[in-house]
Parts: sequence; structure tokens; C-alpha cells
Amino acid sequence: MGKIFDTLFHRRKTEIFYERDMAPDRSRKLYKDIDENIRIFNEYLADCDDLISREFVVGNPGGPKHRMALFNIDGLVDKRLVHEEIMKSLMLFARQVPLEYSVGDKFFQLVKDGLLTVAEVREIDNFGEAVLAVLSGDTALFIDKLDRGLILNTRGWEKRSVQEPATEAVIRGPREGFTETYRVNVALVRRRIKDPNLKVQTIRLGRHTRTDVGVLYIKGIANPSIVEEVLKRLNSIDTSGVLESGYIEQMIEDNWLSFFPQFRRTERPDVAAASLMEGNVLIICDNTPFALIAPTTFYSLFQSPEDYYERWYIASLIRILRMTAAFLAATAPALYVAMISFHPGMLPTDLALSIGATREGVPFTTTVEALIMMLALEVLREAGIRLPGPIGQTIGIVGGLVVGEAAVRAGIVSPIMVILIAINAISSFAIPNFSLAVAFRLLAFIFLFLASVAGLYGLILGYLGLTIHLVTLKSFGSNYLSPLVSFKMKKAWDIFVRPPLPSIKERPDYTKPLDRERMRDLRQDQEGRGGDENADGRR
Amino acid sequence: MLMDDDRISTGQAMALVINAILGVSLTILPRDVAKTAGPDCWILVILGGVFAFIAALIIAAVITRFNGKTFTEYTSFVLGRPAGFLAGALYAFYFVLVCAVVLRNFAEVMKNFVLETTPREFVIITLLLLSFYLIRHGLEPMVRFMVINFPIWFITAIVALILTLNKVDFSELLPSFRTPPDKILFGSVSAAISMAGFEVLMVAGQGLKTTRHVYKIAAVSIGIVTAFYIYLVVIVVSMLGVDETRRLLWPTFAVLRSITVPGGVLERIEAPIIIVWVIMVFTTLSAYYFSATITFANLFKAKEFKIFAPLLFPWIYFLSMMPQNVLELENWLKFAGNLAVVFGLIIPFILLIAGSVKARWGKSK
Repeated sequence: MGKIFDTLFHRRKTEIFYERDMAPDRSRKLYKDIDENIRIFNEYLADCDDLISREFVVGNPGGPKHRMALFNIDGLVDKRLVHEEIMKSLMLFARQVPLEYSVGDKFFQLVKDGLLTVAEVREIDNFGEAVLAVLSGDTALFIDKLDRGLILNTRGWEKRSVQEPATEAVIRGPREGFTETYRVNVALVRRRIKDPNLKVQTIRLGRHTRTDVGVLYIKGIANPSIVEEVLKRLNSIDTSGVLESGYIEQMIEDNWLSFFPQFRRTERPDVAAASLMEGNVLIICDNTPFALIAPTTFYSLFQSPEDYYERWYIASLIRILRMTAAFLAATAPALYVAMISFHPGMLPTDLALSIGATREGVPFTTTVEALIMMLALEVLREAGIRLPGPIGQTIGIVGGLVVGEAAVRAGIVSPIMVILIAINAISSFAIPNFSLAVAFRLLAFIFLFLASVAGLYGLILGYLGLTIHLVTLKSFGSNYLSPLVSFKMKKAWDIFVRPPLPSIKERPDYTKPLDRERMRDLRQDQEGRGGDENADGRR
Repeated sequence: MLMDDDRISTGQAMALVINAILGVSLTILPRDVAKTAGPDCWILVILGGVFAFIAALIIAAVITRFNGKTFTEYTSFVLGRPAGFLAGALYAFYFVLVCAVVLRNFAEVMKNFVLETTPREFVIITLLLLSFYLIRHGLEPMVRFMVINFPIWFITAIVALILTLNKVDFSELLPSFRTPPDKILFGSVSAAISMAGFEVLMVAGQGLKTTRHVYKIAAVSIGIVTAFYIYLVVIVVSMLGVDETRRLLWPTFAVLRSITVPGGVLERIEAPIIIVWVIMVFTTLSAYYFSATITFANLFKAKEFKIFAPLLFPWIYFLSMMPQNVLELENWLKFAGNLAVVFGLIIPFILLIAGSVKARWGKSK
């Protein structure tokens, strides 16, 4: 009998952890007998040494005694809250409960409504929810002779405080960045948008990790079809674990063969808030400071939050600069190789001669030379990331200066190539989005190959292929190259210049916002006001 | 067949037509008109524009009349099943031929100016493969691609021609109005041929969102192309002189050879500019390749037009390798140009007349 029960029970146990929709198993109800409840709960969390269980007796000394049991996970709960607001209330204040209230359901109602001084209290009737809640940092409270339990929100663990984001530093702008805690991140966004239309839908992803993933959008701006599509794709994820938003990104992106990131990721709540107001959908994942913005366009990846805080001349110039940098990051070595090996006539005579002189004695072809330098640079970059700060700098100096200089002296590479590769690398760091920068560095190798095969013609082939790919790429139904694909010059303008804020009256098209109007016409308004004053004066 | 959402707007259709027209013919147009009319060459271009506009108007009328029908459907309706099928097949072969001629001409220019040692086959196959990659996505993505690249080559072309301005001598265009009228009329037909390309809309017209603005498409696109050609011819002839222009094989690119960039960053820029011209050739090729594919798909009432693209691939390639040398290629170009008159003017005209007669006849009955 026990064996049959065990196998049955075991089957159930696997069921809750591997259920398709990640929802807790609600089928196994709580019993009236507290001993049975404690036994089963302990079996769910058998061999979990971090489980804290406490049984105690509560009640008016003259009246009936109530046995209670309390479960939580060590380290996930706020100890002070459990001690002061739960244990103390129950053990001390419950003694003063009048006799007529200390029986059965009445007592339970009183505990729930009047005794526990915890903000969030929820009633449950099954084990699945209780286990999940306890594992998320809540406290479960069972009471004897009751087939219901209470879940008390006591979440509180060691967490990183809100700090300045490391990857998206700005000169002007807020210094707050997302942290690893889901609720904190949502709150950071909520603090910027105090609008009941900012909706937060939380789902849990990962069979084992049960990670909280929130979908944020502003109702009335965001297109419901995009929100639906995001939720649909998120719900289709069935995986063992989601540890970072990168997992989600790669599982729900439109084209996984593409080099290009199809989500914009941000560490900054202000960027998140701005994109929400453009009609985007924000995906916040627990345990990571990186939120995802969908849909995304190619050009939005070139934007930095500062663009909208700085004056528009400066912001526009910097935007054009970034575009140029991206172009150089992808093509600088390839252009050089194409010119040297296929079209030397393009160079002015003096320059051609000086390049020829520096290349004297270099044993490799230009392509091989470029390839060696580019690979060396990639290795240096990778080494620099892994090493701790001070040593990382040493790597930079040793690799960049000493080896570079020595390589030129030894006649392995020409100095012009060193300059070129340096320009190429620095340009790629000028792209604000890291994933995009990596894509451009990858492209640099492809373009180098094409240029070494067919010179400038190879380059234009690469360009055509790249454009065809980008033109057909979509991010949640929006064109990746939007707004360039349409004939709306006014919108296309925003790619190269950042227009003065008063002139950005409409939200971008690619999010297909329900509410297009971003601001009322400022000048018209002022004229109207001026008219009123005149009228007053005449009167 | 096209999918329902694979439709293009009026502006996109303009881009498609302009991209289909501008391509290979601009490399030889100055020579053609200079040969016929000497200093009066610009008159030929204007008249050619007028002729091309008339042809485009006829095609636009055909498209408007048979709103939303595929090419095969309306030719079969007007001319009867067998004749309609034949017309469709002829159009498809014409499009394939244009693809081949465009590709071969492109390969010759590349061999002459940019890649002296690279075999033509490489150039042709790579560009054709890329074109295949583009058209298999459908009409709308193809036109989107054209729209995106439009500013790049347009600005480059304008800038390149502006750089020539300091070497231009407009007295080369004098004396004016000395050419006999019959010569002008005859020459302007050949100028009109270099504006062939509107006929792709006969088959791509089924992908239009609305046929209300087809006349606008015709006017704007032919207008832009004519303006561009006048500009080109005037600059080339006044820079090289009439005699020189007549003698050169590709006078447009010969002009580029003598351009220097101010500031001395680059000494010769004909290679990069010809590279940008590759985009123009590519869009022309893709427009015709797509038209050929979609015509075949319509002929056989195929649900998916994509399968015809790889089938046409070897034919285009072999046809493009047929001419033995540049002179033979010239004859092919002339032949294709004459076909353009048939397919861009005569057949649409027959369709229009027959269609209206049939409609009236049907009404009176």
C-alpha cells in the first residue's frame, strides 16, 4: 500500500516540476489534519536543508489551543518580519483573543484579517502553490483543523542595491540602473511612469528555475497585437531554466540565423520608460539587470539615452558619428585590402608610394596581414575582459603598444595596417549597443574575405547581401530597417539627426502605436494663449 | 502568385519603375544620341522621354482597365486563351533576355574598369545569385530594398556628375537645332528605348495596392528618369565633346576617369562610382528577373512563384554568355531594344484597343 502511494506520490512530484505551463499543481489539496499537511509538505521538500519548519501552539489560555506550522526557506525571507510580525503576533497577541472568536473558521478569519501584521496575505488550498510560494521566499502558515493555508509575503534576501549601470554609462542622465531583483526593476520603471495604464503581466518561465518574467506595456499606446505576440512567444518557451534575459531573447527572436540583435537590451530604467512611451513592450526578467525592448529597429540600436537629454545639434552630430563608426567598424580593413590589392590606382600617388615603402619587407599579403592583426586584436579584447581591472590594463599596454610596436619593427606588419586595425577596433567600441558592435566586428571578417576575393566588387556584393537580409528581417512584425523603408521623409530624418524635441510630435511608426500623438503643438498652444491675453487687455 | 499582403504602394511602384529603367542603358545612351544628333543630343533625350511617357501611359491604361488581374488573365481575356498564353510566354522570354543582356553588359564594364583579371563568369554568377536571393522574398521586400538603396546611388550619381562641372564646356552643345527633323525623330526612338523598364509594371501591376495612381507613377518615374538622362547627356557630351563621345564604348564611365576629388583623398574614383552603379544594375536585373519569374508562375498558374526563379537561373546565365564579344553584345542590346518597342508599346497598345473594343462589344450585346 505504502509502495503504491509512494509511486503515485512520486509521479505527482515530477508532475509539478515538469508541467508544461509552469503553473503550480493545484490538484493536491490541503487536509484538515495538520500532521498530514506537515508530513506531506516535508516530503515535497525532503532533503532540502535550507527549509525552516516550525510548529507551535496558539490560542487563548482559557480556550481551545490551535496548532500551527510555519514554513520558509532560510536566506530568502526577511527574518525580522517573520519574528516580529508573524511569530510575535500569533504567539503573544493571540492569547488575548476573546473566547467566541477562537473557534474554527472564525479563528482562521481573525488570524488572516486581524492578527498578521504583514502587508500581503493570500489564502491557498493546495500544496503546489504553497511549495512554490515558499521557494520564492514567502512563508506558508498551516493551521490545525483547517484545509486552507496562508501565504505571507516575507520576501527579503541579500541583493545588490541600485547602482550605476556598467554598460550604458552616460554623462548626462540618471545614474540608476536595473538590479537583479525583479520587483525592484519593475518599481524602477513604475516610479518613472505613474500611470495606471502601465500594465505589468508576470509569468513564470523555466521548469526548474521558475523565473519571474514580466511583460510591461502602456495600454492605449502599445499595439495589442504586439503585446499578444510577445506573450504568446514567451508562453511557448519550455525549457529547463531561464537564467538571464539572453535566454529569452534567443528563444523568441524572429530570425536566429541573423547576426543582428532583434531586441534592444537596456540596463537603464529611463531608457525602458522612454521606449514604453514609444509603444514598445518591455520584458523584465528576474535575476538579471538587462531588460529587453521589443520590437526593435536597426537604428534604435544606435541610440543612446543621452541623445534625448543633450541639445539636438550635439546629439545629431554624435548620431552621425556613430553611423560613420559603424561603417568603419565593418569595412575599414576590407576597404584597405581592396584598394591595395585590386585598385591601387584609386590612391593618390604620394600615398601609394608611402604605403608601398612601409610595406617593404612585410612577408605576407595584405589580406593575411589584416587577418593576423584583427585576430590578435580580438584575442586582446577577450583577454582584457576576463582579467581583473589592473591586469586588464597591463594587457592593453603590453598587447597594444609593446607587441604592436615590436611587430612593426620586426617587419611582420606595416604601420599603416596597425593604424587601420586600431581605427577599426575603436570604431566598433563607439557603437552603443554591444551586441550590434559584435555583429559589425563579425561583418568585418566577412567583408575582408569578400574584398580579398573580388576587391570593391566583393564589398558591394557583401553590402547588397547585407541589405537584402536587413530589409527582410523583422522584429515582432516591424521592419528592422524602419523608418527608412517608407517614403516618409519626416520620420526617416530621425535616423541621422535627432530632431529638436518640440518637433517630435508623433511616436515612431514601427511600434504601430494606438495613440500616435506624442505632444500637442507647442507653438499653436502659445499663440492661443497670447490671443487670450490680448482679449483680456482689450476688455 | 503573389500573396495578399505582398503589395506595393504608389511611391514604391515609382521606385520599382525608376530602378528598373536606370541601369545598363545609361552607360551607352550618350554615345547613341551623340552619334545621331551631335550637339542636339539633348533634344533627342527630351523627345525620347515624351515617347517613353506615351508608352507608359498606354501601359498605365492597360493596368487600370484590367485592375487587379494578372498579366496572363487579362491577355487571355482579351486575345483568347492560346494567344494570351503565347503573349505571356513571349513576355517571359523577353524579360529573361533583358536579364541576360544587362548582366553581360555589366560584366563587360566590370572587366574593363574594375576587375581586369577576374573572369566574367564569376561576376555574372555572383550577381545573379544575389538577385535570386532578393526576389525569392517577394515583390514588396524587393521594392523595399530598392527604396533603401535609392538615395545611395542617386546621391552618388549626382555628386559624381557635379565633380565634373569644372571640366565642362557647354559650347560643345552648340550649334543647336541643326539636325534634320527626320533624324531627330528616328534618334529619339532609340533614346526612348533606353527608358524601357516601365513594362515590368505590366506584370508587377497585379501587386499594386491601388491602380488609381498608375498615371501618376508613369508621369513621375518617366519624368525623373528623363531629367536624369538629360543631365547625364549634357554633362558627358559637353565634357568629352561630340566626337569623343561618339567614339567611346562607355562614354559615361570615361568621364569618371578624369574626375579628381578635391582634397586629394582619392586620386581616381571611377572604381568606387562604378561599384555604386552595381547597385543600379542589380535593381534593374532584379526587377526583370522577378518579372520573368512571376510571368512564368502566372502562365502555369503556380501557387508559389519562387520555384521558377531557380529554373530561370541557368537560362539567364547561358544567354548572357552567348555573345562572343562586345560588338556582338551591342547587336544583342539593339535587338533587346527593338523588342522593348514591341513589348513596351505595340502589344500594350493592341491590348488596350482590343480590350476597349471587346468591352464596347460586350456592352452593346
